[in-house]
Amino acid sequence: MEMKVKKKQLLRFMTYLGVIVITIIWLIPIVSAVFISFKTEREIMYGGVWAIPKTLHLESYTQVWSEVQQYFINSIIITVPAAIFSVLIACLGAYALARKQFKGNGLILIFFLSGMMIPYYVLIVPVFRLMRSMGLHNTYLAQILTNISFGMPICIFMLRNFFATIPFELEDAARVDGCSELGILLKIVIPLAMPAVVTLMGFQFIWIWNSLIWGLALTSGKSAQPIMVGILRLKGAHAIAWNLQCAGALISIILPLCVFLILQKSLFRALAMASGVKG
Amino acid sequence: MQRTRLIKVLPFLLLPLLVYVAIEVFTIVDMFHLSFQEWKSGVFHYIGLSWYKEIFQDRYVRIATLNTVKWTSISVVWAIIVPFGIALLLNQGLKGENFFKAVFIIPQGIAYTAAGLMWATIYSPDVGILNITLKKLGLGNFARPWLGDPNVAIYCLIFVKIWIRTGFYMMVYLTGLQALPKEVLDAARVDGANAWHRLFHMIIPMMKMIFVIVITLDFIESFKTFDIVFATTRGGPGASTEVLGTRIYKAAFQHWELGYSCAIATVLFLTTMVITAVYLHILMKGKKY
Repeated sequence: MEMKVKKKQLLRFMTYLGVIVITIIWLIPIVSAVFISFKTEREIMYGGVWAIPKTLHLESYTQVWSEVQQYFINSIIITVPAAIFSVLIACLGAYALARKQFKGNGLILIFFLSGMMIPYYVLIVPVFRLMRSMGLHNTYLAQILTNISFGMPICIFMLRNFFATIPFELEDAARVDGCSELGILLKIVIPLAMPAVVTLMGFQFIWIWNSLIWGLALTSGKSAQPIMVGILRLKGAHAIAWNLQCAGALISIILPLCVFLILQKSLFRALAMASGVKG
Repeated sequence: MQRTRLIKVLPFLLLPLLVYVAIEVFTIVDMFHLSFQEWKSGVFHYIGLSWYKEIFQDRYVRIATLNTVKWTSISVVWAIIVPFGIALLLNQGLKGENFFKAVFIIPQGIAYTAAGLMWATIYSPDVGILNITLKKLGLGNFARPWLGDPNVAIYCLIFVKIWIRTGFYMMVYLTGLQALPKEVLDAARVDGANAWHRLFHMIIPMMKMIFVIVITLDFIESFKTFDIVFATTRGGPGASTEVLGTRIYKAAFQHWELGYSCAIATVLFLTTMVITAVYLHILMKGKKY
């Protein structure tokens, strides 16, 4: 009996040990980036990275911020409208696909969904050519439009799954009261699916903000380049300034990371639903 | 669900279809079209299948393909084993469970590009944490310029991706584990089935579909690899970390062989579509049970 208890305790101890070791490894990159970003280049060279910074040097941040400020603003101008409009436009299609049965429903859905598997970089040349031919190269608009278009598959997929869970009785009642189809979408379906709609907008924000490819392919200057391209520029400007690189990386992730931490609970509920993990 | 005629729902479908077709679908067609052409001094000329023949002789495409396959296989095998293992550990009601979960979840909010820069610091030869720690532990022999060494650079980059994605798969597995029928597992325990038996003969088979989903998601994600490599090594040293994404990018915007870039892209696109079809087939079959 005592053996069994001891064995169980040992197992428990090993479990904790395992989890703690992996956790520490997982924390290192963030902790080290934060440490380094608060040090000067001299400190990194002579004090080593492990030493806890004695004084908080904010120089890297002020220097990096003055360099990436423009990119940061560009990213906001591109990402916010792209996230909002991709979800709003997808709401229309998702409503039809989730709540109406018509000939071609399945086909149209598959047509949209097949766009989800495509690695975006296979289309850099034709998208570059399209935007150039419309005179939109190196503009915000090119990146906003591209991100909205490429967001359709995932947004329609997610929203369709949410809309399908809303009971039909409410809708029927509204229809009896003479509500139009658009009215039903705007007054019943979207308000009921509001948490999902907002969550999806948040995730579109994160995905678009974090993506690099369109910023590279569709721009050629600081006036329209997003932050992810901007932080790569930091690397080129100074031979190897690790403190600047880390400060830049941290500045670039702060907004999407905040959105992510707020939304992550609903993400996993949504993903569980969408991927069919539950039900 | 209400039966309707297509014409009645068309107003709802029109805008999303238009937005989707005007850029994404249109450019897919244009990619096919451009893959038969050569771009010279500002104009495209039709050159037939030449680019496709070129692909098979291109050493860099071969290396990029091999690296993408390597990247995908390592990443998928990891996604099957490690996040599932962590999920099993965290599913035992540990103290501080939420803290541990948070640690694994946070990296997912971090862009590949930014993560690449953060990890490049860790891998750096003279000031990087990795080398400094190895030297302190008396393992100085293993210290090396991690991203500058053609033999290990690609593995270092794969780990960046793994660092970001592990938490996501762990959460998917946890959702699955928590949805398992407790009564059945408890009954098996009472009947004397030990932990290993319950794991391999009950839990894993019951979670089959979740494994299929994780494998597919990671497969797609691995094919999309571009940002991490571009942000760190840009395919170097030599071509040791070249992946299909960087190869297509370089063909387009460094060598300005736009048609060739589209030809490689077309082959990759078709491969992705075939894999997708197979996946959908498996998924449909799985739903029947």
